[in-house]
Amino acid sequence: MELLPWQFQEINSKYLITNEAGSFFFCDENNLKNLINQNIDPIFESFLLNQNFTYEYENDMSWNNFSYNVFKRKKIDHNINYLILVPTLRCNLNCSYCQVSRVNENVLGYDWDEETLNLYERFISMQETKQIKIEFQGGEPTLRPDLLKKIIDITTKYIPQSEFVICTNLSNLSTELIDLYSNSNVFISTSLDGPLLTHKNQRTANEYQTTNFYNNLEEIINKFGFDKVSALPTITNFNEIEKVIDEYANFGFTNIFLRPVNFQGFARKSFKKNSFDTSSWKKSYLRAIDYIFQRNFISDHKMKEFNFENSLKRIFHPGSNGFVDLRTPNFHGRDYMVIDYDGTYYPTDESRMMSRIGLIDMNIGSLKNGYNESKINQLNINQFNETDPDCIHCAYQQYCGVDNVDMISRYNTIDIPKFETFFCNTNMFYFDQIFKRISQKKDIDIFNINGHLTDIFTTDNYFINHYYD
Amino acid sequence: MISLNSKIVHNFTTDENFVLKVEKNSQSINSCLENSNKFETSYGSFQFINNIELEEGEILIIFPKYNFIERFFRPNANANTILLTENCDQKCIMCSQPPKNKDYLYFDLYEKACVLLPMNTFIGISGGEPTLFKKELFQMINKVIEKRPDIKFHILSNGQHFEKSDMDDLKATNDNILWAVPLYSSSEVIHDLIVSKKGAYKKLYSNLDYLCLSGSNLEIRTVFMKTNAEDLENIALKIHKNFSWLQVWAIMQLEKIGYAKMNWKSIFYDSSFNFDPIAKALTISKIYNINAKLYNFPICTVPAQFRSLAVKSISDWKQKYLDDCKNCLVKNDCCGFFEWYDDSYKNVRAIN
Repeated sequence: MELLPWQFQEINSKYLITNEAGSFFFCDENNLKNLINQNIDPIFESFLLNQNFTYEYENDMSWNNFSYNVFKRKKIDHNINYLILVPTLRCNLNCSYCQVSRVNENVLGYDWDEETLNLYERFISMQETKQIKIEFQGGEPTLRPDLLKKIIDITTKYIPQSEFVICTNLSNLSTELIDLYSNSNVFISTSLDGPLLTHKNQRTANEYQTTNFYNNLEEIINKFGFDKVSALPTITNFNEIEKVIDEYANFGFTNIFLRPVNFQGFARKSFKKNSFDTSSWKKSYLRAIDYIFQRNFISDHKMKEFNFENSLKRIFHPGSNGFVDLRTPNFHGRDYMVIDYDGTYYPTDESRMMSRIGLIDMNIGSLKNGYNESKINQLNINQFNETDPDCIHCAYQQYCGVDNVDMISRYNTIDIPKFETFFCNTNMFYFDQIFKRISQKKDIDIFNINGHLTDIFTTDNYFINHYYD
Repeated sequence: MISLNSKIVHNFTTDENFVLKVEKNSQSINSCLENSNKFETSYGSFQFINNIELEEGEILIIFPKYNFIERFFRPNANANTILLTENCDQKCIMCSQPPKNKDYLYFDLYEKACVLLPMNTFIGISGGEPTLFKKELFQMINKVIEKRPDIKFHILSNGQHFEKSDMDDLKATNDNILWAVPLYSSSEVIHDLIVSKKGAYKKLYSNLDYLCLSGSNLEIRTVFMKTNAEDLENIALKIHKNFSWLQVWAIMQLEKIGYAKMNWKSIFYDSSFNFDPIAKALTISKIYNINAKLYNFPICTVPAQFRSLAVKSISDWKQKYLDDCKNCLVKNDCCGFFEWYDDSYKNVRAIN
């Protein structure tokens, strides 16, 4: 019997065994040793065959299933299917941790001009993709509803199956904007930082703007329902995390993305302490997850936390490569990209911010001059974890990802051991969390894992086939 | 019920079988035009004996010697299917169309008819067992997709007849065929018992390797019965660990006709009364991202959280709704009931 390559990790004094296809099971130390020594009895062998850890002959169904899932995990679209556009860099708010990509509302020369629009049309007409998602970032994109409309028209002309997400601070809600939002392929993403006071301190600054935001959010939800709008908190005070969850629950949101304040831009100066403090983030996150889990267990209003959901999907659904912060390979300039207010291409929104504060020039071309292939290739040399000397030993390698932009932004280099990085630390922690809970088999955890994966919240344990006791 | 074929009277100048398309504005040799109950074609005219209303765009196969037409393609039908043969080498205990020694091997006509289809049409090929004639079948499909690469075929096959030598044909047609293959149990013994063929399970498993390696599209079909109800969870896990590359896993309710009617008492499981085994299998499917669907399940027999998986699967010509369905809000999304349905479900009600 030949074993397919596998990795392991200790979890709660059991051992988690995983492989490249993402199959996994728990066993005791004895069976780990049996695996290592290839001392495998027929019962264990048949278990391993059922779990795609071995095969009977080349190209049998276990081999094929394994290969298919390995391939699916690594597959990334060759066409652009996700674009972040910055129609204007101007903004009417001045948030405490703004990631610098803004200028004041009245400054001239920071919007897409006619030429950029024409070049965009040329760009989009050349795309071979059948569907695309466009995210409007800023600045505050709703300062130019006319531009948004034009871009939407141009895009749908060439790619009828387009979806648009307008990232807005919701300070404007004119009839023109409401008209725009009523299109079934237009969605809204906004920031809601938690309790009113926090939101006011971090974003809206004064009473008028704060009330205005809350009114507009309610109006949008009442008019269009929760399918239309998603909200993201930026958490600066980790002690407050339960209050953030309460605020989202009170509004009726069913999804929440708990993330610490981003490291890029001015935020690095204003929130230096928290942006470094991974251990206090982990503690708060853990509290938050338990809080959400308990809430879900007793309340009819169920909530899902995005990190938890996404990490689960990375484990259970090969091919969940839609979240570009957690996948491998994660090639730049391939299936997603940012086009800035002046038509410059950036691989990610973070790299746009880093370029803007002068940390590094990450522009990879422009609408005018096309892709800068040699720079893209240079950036992509290490945009996968498959050969990373630390990752190859990790049981989570196939579930995890790579983000060199984050490395550069934090450490000014990508050449440091992975396990010393924020990226590795937080993601290891998210995966540890999940596998611990699966191995402990507590009702409340199983209930919420089922719910996060399937929207069916039930204590039925469907993970029995993952334990080899 | 909609008639799929009919007797005709005609004055055709040919005895050869041929293909027609119902078209108002066309000079094509294949077109056929209605003129006060008579249909004019380039070979002469014909009239139906029964009262049949043809749709614009319908494609017909004419058998002049037998005074007979087949309605090959109806544009408004939810499925158009070629019945290739009634021969089969399995004898499933719930078969709705028990095998007979009859074939309908008009490959040339099917090819000509397929070429006339509208863009991106899906044509079903069913039996009996179509791959008993796999050589001619592949030839026909290869010829069609050479001229019309947009046409796709949905072939219902027991998967027993693929061989290594079919790999080239499978690869050449892999974009154009969805193979719908049955798997009835996670246990070899029970699967073989259900299909009444020893060794069927083993053969199926090794043959599905060919479908995988040729990049073919696969739909696995599991008819839900008392015989495999408790096993459904295990089938879901089997699919996850062996066939996660499939396109669809169809869990199907019984059609009470043929052997199914004969064996009804021992095999029918009233899912309107107890949906649990299916709910478990569907939850496992969601956990592992298996694209599971429910065929032949009226929506009201399915709990709310799984209703979106119920497909309008019953062909329009043998589909009916009950009196109560008039008041149902989701009637248009519902597969309804088979023509031969007779109150088998305990819980059927209008949803409103």
